[in-house]
Amino acid sequence: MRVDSTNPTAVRTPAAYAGAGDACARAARLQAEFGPLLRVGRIFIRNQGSEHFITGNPHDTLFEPVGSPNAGQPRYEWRDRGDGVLHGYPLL
Amino acid sequence: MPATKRLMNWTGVTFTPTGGTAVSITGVTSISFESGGSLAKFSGDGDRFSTTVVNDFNDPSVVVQAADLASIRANPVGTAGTFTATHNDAKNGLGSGAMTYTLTNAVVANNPIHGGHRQFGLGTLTLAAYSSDGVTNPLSIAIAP
Repeated sequence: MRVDSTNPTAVRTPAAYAGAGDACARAARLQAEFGPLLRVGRIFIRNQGSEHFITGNPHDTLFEPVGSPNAGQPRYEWRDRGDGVLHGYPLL
Repeated sequence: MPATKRLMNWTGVTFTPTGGTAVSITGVTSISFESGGSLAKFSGDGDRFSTTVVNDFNDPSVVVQAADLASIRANPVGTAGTFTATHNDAKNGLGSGAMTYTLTNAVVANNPIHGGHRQFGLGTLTLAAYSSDGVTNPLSIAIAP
């Protein structure tokens, strides 16, 4: 499967990566770092339990949706940048 | 002006049916988001307390109260779509610090309305949600930079 390596379009971070503080402060930290990386004005943050799944579109999913020809297949190739944060490059 | 970390009042409250037209819900008096998490607890042998607790399932939902009864009743129970609402920063409004909640794959679960003598009518829209892939949380938040 080919990968669009132009720019990451998704990020997964350990939940603790957002740092201490309230939800506003944590979301603001993630917005400040990953908005420019994903090249979007506003990031959408999903609480996945032990980690956050972040993209520029609230409709994005980690896997291909149920009912699609590729149901259950990953939508991204994940590359660890070395500190537990994963950059997601879309699979074509 | 920096975010106050205090949120007050809702704007941009909309429900957009899949393949349909967005319905703006006005006169909003209250919105509640629920994670709907459930915990599975294990104990065995001589345990007198759970020795393992895990969050094994989540069922997020949202409840909206508003005076805009026509919008509350705009879509019948079972209608799927996307729900969006922005909780304004107390001083900056939609500016820095405002939190936008988006519930994808939201499904109308209930939409009763009530009106009493010399009282404004109020309706309650309850939305459940499902995950497209069974893994991704349908509820996301975004903060205005």
